[in-house]
Amino acid sequence: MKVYTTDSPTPERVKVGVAEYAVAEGEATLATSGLGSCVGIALVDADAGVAGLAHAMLPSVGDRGVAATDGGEDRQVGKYVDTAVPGLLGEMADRGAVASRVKARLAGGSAMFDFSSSDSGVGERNVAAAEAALDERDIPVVATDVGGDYGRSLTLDATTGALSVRRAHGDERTI
Amino acid sequence: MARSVLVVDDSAFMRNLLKQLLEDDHEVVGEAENGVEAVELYHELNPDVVTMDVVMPIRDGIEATAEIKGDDPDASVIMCTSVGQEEKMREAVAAGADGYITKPFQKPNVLEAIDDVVGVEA
Amino acid sequence: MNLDVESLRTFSSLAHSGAEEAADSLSTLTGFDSRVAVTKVEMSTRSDVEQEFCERDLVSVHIGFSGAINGRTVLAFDRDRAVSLVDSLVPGASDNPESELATSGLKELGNIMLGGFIDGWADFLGEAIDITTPTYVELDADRSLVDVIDAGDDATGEVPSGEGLGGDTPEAGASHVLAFQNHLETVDEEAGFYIYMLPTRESVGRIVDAAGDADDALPVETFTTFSQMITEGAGQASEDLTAMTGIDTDVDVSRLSFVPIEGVPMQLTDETRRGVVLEFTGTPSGYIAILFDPGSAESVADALMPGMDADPAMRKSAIQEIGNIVTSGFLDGWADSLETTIDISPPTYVDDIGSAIVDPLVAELAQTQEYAFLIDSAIATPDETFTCDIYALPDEQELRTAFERLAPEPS
Repeated sequence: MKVYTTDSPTPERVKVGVAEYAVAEGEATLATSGLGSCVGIALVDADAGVAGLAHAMLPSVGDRGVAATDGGEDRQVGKYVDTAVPGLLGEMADRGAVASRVKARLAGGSAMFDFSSSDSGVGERNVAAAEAALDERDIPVVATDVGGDYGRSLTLDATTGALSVRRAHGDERTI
Repeated sequence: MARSVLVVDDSAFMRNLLKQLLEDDHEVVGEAENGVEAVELYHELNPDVVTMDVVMPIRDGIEATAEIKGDDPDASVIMCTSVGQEEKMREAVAAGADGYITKPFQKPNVLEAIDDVVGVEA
Repeated sequence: MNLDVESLRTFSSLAHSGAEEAADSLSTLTGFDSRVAVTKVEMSTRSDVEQEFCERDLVSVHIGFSGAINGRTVLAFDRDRAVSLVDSLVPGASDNPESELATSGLKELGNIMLGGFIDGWADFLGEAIDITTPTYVELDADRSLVDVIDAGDDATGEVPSGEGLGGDTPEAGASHVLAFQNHLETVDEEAGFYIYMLPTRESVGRIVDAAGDADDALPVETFTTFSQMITEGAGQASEDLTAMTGIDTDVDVSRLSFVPIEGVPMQLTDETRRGVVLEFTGTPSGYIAILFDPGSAESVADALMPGMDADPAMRKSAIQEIGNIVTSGFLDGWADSLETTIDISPPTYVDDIGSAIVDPLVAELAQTQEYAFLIDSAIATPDETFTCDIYALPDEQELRTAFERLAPEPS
């Protein structure tokens, strides 16, 4: 996603929607909200000052029972953890990040409902998929705030790499 | 005349509401949260009438009604539920329900249903 | 005219890429970084579409189009945003936002954004589509969207107006339209842009012929019948809510839309919502969420237990019961019309970030479908003591089965 610097003194704030990811540099924040069973993957190369945030819905593109549509490559990549992670890393590398310096933080992947049809534990599987995808690329996960039965909203500070996790009732923590 | 009533509903709020609606005219002798408790308490308390919710966890009201009526054909069971589908009503009748009222209900309807089903005389 | 899910997907995809083009143009022209937040294909009545406009303080630019397809597109934005936009296009113009200079800047913006939007459709159909000169319009209490669309700047003289999908002589407000709503956002989350495209009925048919899967197609009346069922269901839910609370409520809106599945959570915000989520099984199956903002949840609980000092557990139980009753009111009519049963699960109480509540439901459905039919209704009291939002997400495949049951027998 293209980023324009404006004259405004306030740092730039990039929004990441469901099944999307985005990269920002320098003094900026990336934000995404409403993580239920979705997992938020925050990656930072602090030295290069490049950060990325993904909001992925399902563990793997191979999980689906439907054929891919022509809805556009990008729209599918952010949806699945196993394509979002390399996608995000690729774009960060384009902006000067170096994989060996990248650190990861994960948030989300909760189990909010217990319906008969959904014993799939998709939240847990999303977190596991993220850990696997990062492990495969030797990227350490330095902090997590996952699981539980509640929703989360995230703000990632691109300069420090700190991930602020907000819950519904004002409770906010930084990991 | 006053009847003994077993109130069955998974909602604490609804059981409370029914108790309030009934307290001037009848006696609520027991409360159950699901179909399993409903059958147990029916046998324990032998109420004149049971008000039965349909949608409940563990065991639903249709099954509980079938069991109670199976054990005791003279039992009086009134479905008190939010589900107003024709098909559901047929299922309730098939299970042996004596009456069916849909939520939200008014006090006069509930009292009338009890009188209709159990009879006014002692 | 027949419609099918494949066409809806094509519509959605075209509308989305058109909106992306428009967002890019906007970014280039103004320096405001913008993105497409939501693309929705909506089947609703004209008055519902209009309602969305009236809810916000909007100014808009209208362009008519004709050629391969005919209709109108509207680019609408919040009045405040209009002022800052004008300044980025024509520095200093915000000093006099009503001036000729300012409005012509906005019209030009509309021209470029909407033109880009239409181009994608022309490419798809392999035929040119002409656009008319943009008209700048302010919407206020006295001027409704319907008036504006019908009056319009008919440069071509050919753009039909007042045409709905539902029949030959629909009443202007009640007739159904297929509307494409695209919500664009900038970094400043407060202000959004909306692109509405309202093709004529014939044009919808034209696109369906080009895009659709004839085997799958159903008469469009089926969709409008379903849309009516939704409205009736919302009406029943409203009556039940009134009966329970003793407070008069009305249906504010009830809509059927077709949205890419990942677009569903965007219909809600970061704000907290309280209520219930239920699963329903039958024809169709799916999930339903009955949600209140915290103030409304309090008002509703108070109304259910007047004068009582109810503990939190009791209040929670009361809200769960409301959820049950509203869900039944909403879905029972579907079951009866379709001659099936729809079973409802016991409710799960929720009190969480709005978009997070819907997120897991979407993730479940996303395992087998890429688009979702989203049914949303709002029930409110006239004085806004409380508002109740209903979101139903039926399984796409099962909803199609349900549609087939609704379709009139071939003669």
